[in-house]
Amino acid sequence: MNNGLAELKRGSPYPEGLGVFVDLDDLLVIFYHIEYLISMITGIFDNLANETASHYNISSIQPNRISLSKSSGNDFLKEVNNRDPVLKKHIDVNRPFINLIYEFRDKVIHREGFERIISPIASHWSNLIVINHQIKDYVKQCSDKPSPYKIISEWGVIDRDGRIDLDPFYFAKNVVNNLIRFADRYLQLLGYNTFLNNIDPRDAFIKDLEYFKRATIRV
Amino acid sequence: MKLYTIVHSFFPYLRVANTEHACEVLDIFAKSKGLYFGTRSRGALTSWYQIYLYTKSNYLPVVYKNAFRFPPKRPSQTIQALIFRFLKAFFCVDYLGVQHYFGYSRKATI
Repeated sequence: MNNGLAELKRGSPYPEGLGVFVDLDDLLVIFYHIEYLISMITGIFDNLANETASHYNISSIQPNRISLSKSSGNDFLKEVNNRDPVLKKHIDVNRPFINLIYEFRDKVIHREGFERIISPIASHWSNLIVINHQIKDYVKQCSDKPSPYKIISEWGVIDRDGRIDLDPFYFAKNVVNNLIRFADRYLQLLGYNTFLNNIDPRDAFIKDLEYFKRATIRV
Repeated sequence: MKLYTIVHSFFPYLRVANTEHACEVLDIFAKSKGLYFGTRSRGALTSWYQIYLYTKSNYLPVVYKNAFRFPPKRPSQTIQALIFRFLKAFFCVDYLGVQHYFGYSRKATI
């Protein structure tokens, strides 16, 4: 057990020998969902890029080059700038966020996956992702800030003992909140109308939306 | 007594610092038991995520209960895929939340 405690203090990618401190089922479920989430978010980026190509009839770019990624979608992004500089500026402002997701996508889809570490913050809170300074900088540029819990930031960054870790749940909820803001403004710039201009209080959806706002627990 | 103090008394192993966090814990706990507060039946999983999406987005075309509402015409396949991916993304975050707060290694339940 003493060896296990020492291992945990250092942080360990290997759960063997850690005994009751770690449940392998937690590790599997958490990393299954966080890696799946990354692939879904890049799917949403691709949906936005394809909708843009369709909206502006951009047909000169190969389909696999229609992307918000700077490396694979460079020609597409130049074309977007020609057709709609305001939309291109919106993409540029969110570049750290887009880069952050594509950096993770390459790891998850093409390389070794997230680097896992078991290193408790508190009891039963131990499954983290090891990140580097570049990722931390991207997260910081996505408006990360300190949380009420001090050791961990709003986006889940934990900077301690010479290593930077990321909590998957904190990270996931902030990423998805940021993504919905990004996509909503993106569609507005593409000319989509807000449903708030068409509200009919007798409509079943609007009634359910109003009910939801009163009855949900989620703030 | 503040909400987060009450939540802490039910889940003493959780650190809950404010009301927003307490609401998140309660919402995720309810979902882990199959309860989706905010829907009329309290059990409508897909409807919960569909409505939640439109509390966050004003410009996505509204697809609700397999019908196209605003505008009342079918969006492109790409936009339909985007909307469905958002539902899956929210669902995924809540699954991570269940694991984060009430995972397998927490043996005690209320």
